[in-house]
Amino acid sequence: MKIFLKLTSLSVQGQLYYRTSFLINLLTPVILLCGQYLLWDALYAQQSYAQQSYVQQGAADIGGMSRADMFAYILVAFAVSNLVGWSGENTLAKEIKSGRIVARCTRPAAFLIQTLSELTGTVLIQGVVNLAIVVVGFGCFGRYMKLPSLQAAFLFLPCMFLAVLLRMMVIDVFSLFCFFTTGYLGIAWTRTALFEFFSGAMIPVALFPDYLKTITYFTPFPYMLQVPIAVLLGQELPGSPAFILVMQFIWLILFWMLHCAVYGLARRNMTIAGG
Amino acid sequence: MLKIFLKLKEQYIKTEMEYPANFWMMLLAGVLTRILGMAAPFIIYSNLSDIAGWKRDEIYLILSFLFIAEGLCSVLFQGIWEMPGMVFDGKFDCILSRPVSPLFQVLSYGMGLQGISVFLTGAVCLPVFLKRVGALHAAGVILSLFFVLCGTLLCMSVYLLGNSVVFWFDAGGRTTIPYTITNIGQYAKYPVEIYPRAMQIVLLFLVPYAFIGVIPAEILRGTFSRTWCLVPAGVSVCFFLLARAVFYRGIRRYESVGM
Repeated sequence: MKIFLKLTSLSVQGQLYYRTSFLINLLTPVILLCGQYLLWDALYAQQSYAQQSYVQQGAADIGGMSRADMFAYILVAFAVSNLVGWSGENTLAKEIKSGRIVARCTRPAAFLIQTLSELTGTVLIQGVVNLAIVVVGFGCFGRYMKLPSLQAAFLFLPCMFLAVLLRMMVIDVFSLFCFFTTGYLGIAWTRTALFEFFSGAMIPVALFPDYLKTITYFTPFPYMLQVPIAVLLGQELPGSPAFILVMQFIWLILFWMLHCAVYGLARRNMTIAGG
Repeated sequence: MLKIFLKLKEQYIKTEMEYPANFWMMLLAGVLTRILGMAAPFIIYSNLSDIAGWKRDEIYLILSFLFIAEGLCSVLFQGIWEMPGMVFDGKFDCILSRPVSPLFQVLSYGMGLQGISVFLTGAVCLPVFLKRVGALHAAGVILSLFFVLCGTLLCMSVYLLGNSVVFWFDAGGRTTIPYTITNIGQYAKYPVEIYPRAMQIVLLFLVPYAFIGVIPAEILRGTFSRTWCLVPAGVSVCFFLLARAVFYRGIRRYESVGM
């Protein structure tokens, strides 16, 4: 634990070094959040008109989600999906490509612990900022959104913890594939595209056609974003809360096994000479 | 100059093909990101009949123009995205010390392999959706090629403007500003008239991605007359001149051996 905390603190220091950029990088995603609101507000206005309910705009729904449901979803989805930025996600992959990974392999700490502690450093800073954005968002615009209940918030916390851990494991395993491709951009883009689509970061899974929804719940991605948010906002879930926690555990164990297999293979064939 | 540019690209693609796993992974990533990008309008349209009078095929026509412009920019001008790293590491010194235009060197540096598959996805989709919106005729094809040229120049100019901020903000080579600018542009894959006036101004004049896909699609579906073709061309040229000016202004702030 001491090693984990030390490495996490080093990661936090690294994030804070370039202060202007740090602040800009923290806040630029908010612009995209505004864009999301404008897009969905426009789509709901269209739908209200189509459903002839423009007298009562809040009555329109898209795929069973009301405007209040969607607005709350967008805010929380933004906070969860932006927990780890592009730079934080690709630190391990870049080290593998450049050969600097040798430093991690020689440190007296488990490889996975080092990756998780570094990602925790990134998540901590961004998490605080995102939490503030969510609180301010619900505080200022709560009347336009569905507010979560206290009971749902309690259920959300363990689910969210496992979701973040699962996301870190996915990042770790995908990054390890760089040992075999010698490049990381292709892998990073593939992972990002799969995550953004199947996790519900781009469009809520509730809006997917039924066959696509079924396929989506067979992947680990909705358990990193859609499912915890659905727990918080009381939306449609693929099963009971206990089933969700079990599914998250199963995916975590699967990715841990994948990590062991991929890292073991890479370690046996590793030649450090840069990429 | 064009010969040198193409020769450099040839060398980059040879280098990249030395690593076959990465090469194919990049191509796969390009196709996958775009197919999943196309799935978003598919899902929206499975819940809505139209968006401001635009049918699904018309949205895919906009996406086709965007894919081609982004793909060509990745293949031809990937060096723009390498610029923050070059400035941070001090590699920009080499650019300034050679007797060739710095802008030319930045543009010709590197190659985005995923751009090949992004471009091909767009190139396959464009004729399909031109046909579906009834614009697959000689004039439609010629206009489309013209819009692709204007769109690529505009896309490159927006990338250059966004990445030139590196001269003003020391970001350790990892600023998110250019990515944010590009992501804002992605909202122009839907018709701009659905947005409030402020967002329309952003997409038409500040991050003018609307001129890459939406305005060409408006012209091809007959909403706007063909005299409007001059507007994307004018905007592209103006933005290129602006981006070039900002880039050279930024170079004056560059401090050797990194920031």
